[in-house]
Amino acid sequence: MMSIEVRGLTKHYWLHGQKIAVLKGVDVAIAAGELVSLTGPSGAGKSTLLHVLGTLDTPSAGDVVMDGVDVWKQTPAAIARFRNERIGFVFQFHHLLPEFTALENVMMPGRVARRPVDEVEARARSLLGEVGLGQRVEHRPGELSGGEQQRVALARALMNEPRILLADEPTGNLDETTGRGIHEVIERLNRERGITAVVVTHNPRLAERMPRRLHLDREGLHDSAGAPAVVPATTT
Amino acid sequence: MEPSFAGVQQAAALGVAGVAWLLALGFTAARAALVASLPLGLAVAAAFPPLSPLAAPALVVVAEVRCPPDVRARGGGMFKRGGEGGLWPLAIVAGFVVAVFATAVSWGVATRGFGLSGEPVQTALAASLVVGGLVAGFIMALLARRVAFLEGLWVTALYSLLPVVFAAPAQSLFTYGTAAAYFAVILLTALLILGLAVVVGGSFGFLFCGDGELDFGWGYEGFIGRRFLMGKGGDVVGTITVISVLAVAVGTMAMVVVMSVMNGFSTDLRSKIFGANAHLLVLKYGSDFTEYDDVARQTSAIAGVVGASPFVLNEVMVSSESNLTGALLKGIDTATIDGVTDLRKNVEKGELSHLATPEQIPVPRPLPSPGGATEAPGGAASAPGTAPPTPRTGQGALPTKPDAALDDAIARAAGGIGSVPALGIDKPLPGIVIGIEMAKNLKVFVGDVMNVVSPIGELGPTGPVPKARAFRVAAVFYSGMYEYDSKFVYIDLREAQDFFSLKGAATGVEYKLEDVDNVQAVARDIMRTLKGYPYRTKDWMEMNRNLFSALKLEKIAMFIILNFIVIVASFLIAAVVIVFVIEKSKEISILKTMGATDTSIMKIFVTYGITVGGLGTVVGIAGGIGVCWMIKTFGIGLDPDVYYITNLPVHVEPIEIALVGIAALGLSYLATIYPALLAARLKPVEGLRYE
Repeated sequence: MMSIEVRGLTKHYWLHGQKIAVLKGVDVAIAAGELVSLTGPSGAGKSTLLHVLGTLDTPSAGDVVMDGVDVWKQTPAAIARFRNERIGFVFQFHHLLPEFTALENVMMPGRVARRPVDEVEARARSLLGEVGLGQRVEHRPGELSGGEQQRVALARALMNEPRILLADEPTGNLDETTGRGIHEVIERLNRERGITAVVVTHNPRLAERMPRRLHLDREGLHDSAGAPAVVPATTT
Repeated sequence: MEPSFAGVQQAAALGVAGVAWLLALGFTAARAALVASLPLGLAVAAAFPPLSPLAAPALVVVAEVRCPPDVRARGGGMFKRGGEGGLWPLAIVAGFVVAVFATAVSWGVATRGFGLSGEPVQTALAASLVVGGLVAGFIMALLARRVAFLEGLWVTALYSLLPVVFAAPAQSLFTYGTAAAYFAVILLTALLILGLAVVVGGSFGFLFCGDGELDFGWGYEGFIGRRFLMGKGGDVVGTITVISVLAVAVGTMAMVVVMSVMNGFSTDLRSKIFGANAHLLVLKYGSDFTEYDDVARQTSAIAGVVGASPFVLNEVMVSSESNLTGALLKGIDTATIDGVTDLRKNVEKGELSHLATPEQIPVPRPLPSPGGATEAPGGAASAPGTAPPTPRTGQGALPTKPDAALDDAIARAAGGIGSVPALGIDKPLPGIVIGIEMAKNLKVFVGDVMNVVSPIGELGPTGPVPKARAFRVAAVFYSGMYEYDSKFVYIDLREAQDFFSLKGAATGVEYKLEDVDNVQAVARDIMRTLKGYPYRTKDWMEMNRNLFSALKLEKIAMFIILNFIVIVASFLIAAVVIVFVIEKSKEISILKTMGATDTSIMKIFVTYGITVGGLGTVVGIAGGIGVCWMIKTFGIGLDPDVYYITNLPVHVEPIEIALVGIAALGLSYLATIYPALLAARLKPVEGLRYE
């Protein structure tokens, strides 16, 4: 079963009256449970592609079908709910809410889903324990190291048990050892929970660890072997 | 030819409608320009007349035809729903239908259900505009999936045509007609009420149904809003937030204090008026009200009536040896007057009971020789060198003996204990009670003689001859109302009937009631008991309409003026929330990545705004009540010669405090809507793009 299907995805911006094309007719299919790396030069549109896949940015044209749902044909509220329930995000700069503790940050997606606070808190504590931050729950992001913050962000992404994890250079701001640790967590989540994960990275060594590698450049999106990205290399 | 009165009013209504339409067209032109992604300058220029009436339809067509594909891809377009849409016609239709329906229902209920007409119907219509506007706004937001500002403007513009089309019913709202300018102001106010209600209703609609489904949840949004409010400490937004809270607090406090002081004056005035006057009068057509005792007896048992007393009232001229003045002479029944007015309590010198027993009126003593013992008029002695007793008001003592003429009068009066031996009358002179200001004016004291002249005299050989009679001052009262103290004189009822040759008739019966605000209901019961004609009633509201209307109008004007302070504070809130939205754009994006909807984001910032407004309101109200308490406890002295009152009066009215609170909170909420919408419309990716 396909987890993500993208057909003819085009994205362009208007800047000072000038049309700037970022994505031109991207087609890709990613099967459920796949772990995919996305590499490419800066400015190729990796983050934009990830944002469109994550329903954070609207495509100029094309369809994005995720988990069987043609997401951009939904109402804004339905898209928000889809994002809350099925997609987890991890960003390069953690993007934690500085006013809230680690526990509150992790609880946030559950509270957005209006789940009972007690239940959400118990799960948040458990997730923080899983990423090794069981003793730091009351610490605010400013009191945590970069790696710890990223682990909090990872725990937050898993709060609502998403089917898809989208990570935009999750190790870009970390040293290699810490970055490898984060990657290992992502790999374990993919392996143990069957989460479909797309990881944008500039680190070729980390990309090579992924079962499937996609490369985005001016020519379009390709599998690392050079073949078009429509057919998944592996299916679990 | 002069235009007709109704024609001028219709022209005024047409003018108001023109303003509403220009506003709607202007905003439509600007919105269409923005939907078409035209330059902002063009959008602003197109919003103003004379360009807007032409630009609006043209730009709407342009927006519909040339809407950029990006906007279309996001579900935008001129005639689309949602945040990217321009104008959703169905929302206008629905909003207008609801507003008209609410007006029609309230009109029907007020005029047919309660039989009201004229000004009272205005109140019912104002209420319908608020309720109808709120409901219309809610439904419009539901249909348009946004706050529907523009649609609300169009509903208001369409509504403005109603007084033009239905000119006669609109003009019937003013019993005695009204000036065109005032009519226009009333219509503009009505449209403003409708417009604001639609916006507030629309914001509620968007907050609770903006996502296309009902969601009354405010859990995590309130949690985040409050946490944002506390901030990280020491930041600029935190400082501005504190200033905003203080601004709202100062405005609210000013409103509470000024309204309470005005209430104090009003309450003081009311208590003085009720102390000196009855609450309700029963009068009779004709001059043969001889059955007043029966009427008083029959009506005394009616629920709500505390006391009843007959009276005679006529205008007279009073004179002493040194001066003369016009007065209202009231004949009262000393046996029953205590149940109706506070006259006896108000007596400063002498005795009210001496009206019935004039022979007991004390004789004034001659002025003291220098350095010798004095005796104050009225019999109160004081030691040499000490000041004579002053009235409790502090506006000065009774006049001291002014001249020799008065000494002569005293001497003459002392010679005959009130009788006038020169005229061969041995009967004591009847007593009269006068106000302290009149006593000063006429330079008379308790025991002095003064003449009362009635213009309604007897017919003599040369025509009507004024009737004059000498009275002795039995008592001097102080009511606290200058007009009463300088104009009212009281004599015994029988004496008045005799003086005015009324043949045992009275002018009417006056009543004191348990609840002065229930006067109309009691008046109805009395009229029912007396079986109507030839009796009629006159209540305190009727008797003092001008005074209380002026006070009420003054208070409303002050409320509106003072609200400007809160409006300024609200702009500050709007500014601080906008700054706050810009500062928190990253956090907004982060929340959106987690699935927070636009309405949830709006709720977060509304929480922030209303918390600032709420805190300011609470602090302001507490401060205002505190200041009022201090004024009441420690007092602020006033010059009694100017204000006829010794201290600044203050009376805190809980309902008005609640009104002030609602106004301050409402304005704070209104100020928050726009910046909160800005936050809601922020695209998730915007705040994540730059780090």
